[in-house]
Amino acid sequence: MPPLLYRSASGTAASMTPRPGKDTEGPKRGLSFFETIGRVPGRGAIKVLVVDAAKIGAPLGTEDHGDGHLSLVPHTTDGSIDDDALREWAQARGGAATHPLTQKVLDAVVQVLQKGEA
Amino acid sequence: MTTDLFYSPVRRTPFVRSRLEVDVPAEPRAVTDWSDVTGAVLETLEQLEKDVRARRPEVRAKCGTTRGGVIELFAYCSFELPGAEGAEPLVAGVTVQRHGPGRLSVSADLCGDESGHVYLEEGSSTLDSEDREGLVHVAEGLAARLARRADEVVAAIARSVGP
Repeated sequence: MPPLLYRSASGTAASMTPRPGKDTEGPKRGLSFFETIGRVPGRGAIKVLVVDAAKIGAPLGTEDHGDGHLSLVPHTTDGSIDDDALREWAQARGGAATHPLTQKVLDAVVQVLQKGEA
Repeated sequence: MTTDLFYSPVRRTPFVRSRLEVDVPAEPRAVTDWSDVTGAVLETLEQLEKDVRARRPEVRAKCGTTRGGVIELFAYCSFELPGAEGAEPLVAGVTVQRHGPGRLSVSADLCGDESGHVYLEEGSSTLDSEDREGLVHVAEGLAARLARRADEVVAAIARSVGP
């Protein structure tokens, strides 16, 4: 697992929380990150939050898709993806309170960067 | 991210007070309460919210804050057109980022919530975290610059929805 993970986001709690449906289904489900800033998609100026993977900790872990794209997901004790916890996390998106897993990711932010020029 | 400080009970005697005054060197106080900066920024962004909604009453606005890691404070208002399929909320906000002990930067922008696409930038300032008044002043100033860009925010909302 790369030490630093990169994700385009504004910095709101919603922007660091998986989307119900889109991010809770399929083989690449979870909160998307990239292993280099260059792989973060988008043209022009992009705001990027950099997360230190070592600071995140259980139950969250990464699923590496082998193309520079990783997903952050809650794991069960046997190391498989905890889909119930992932769905519950996604359901909290846009709610009044920040979900504890979202706060865990925010607490691991080590830099706010901009990729490209405005 | 929380900070808990615990103090042992100290009897208020002149002896203790003089010991504290003489022996304890003044140390920089870590900033743990961001309510003054939050209040100043959100109060200022409220004007942006009003101006955007005056131009496009159907726009839904939501203001709030997040904190975590080096982000000491992100105070923002997000704007969204209800029913616009595939359009992401646009977020106008002020970020206070820590760069080390006693060193902070303050920046302001309007960007896509998910895409991070930056529509507007209002600059960035680096300053000493102990200069609390300066910090509030800079954050409020950047928020005020964002608040004057209602026309650009409305145009960006229209662009994010597409034709």
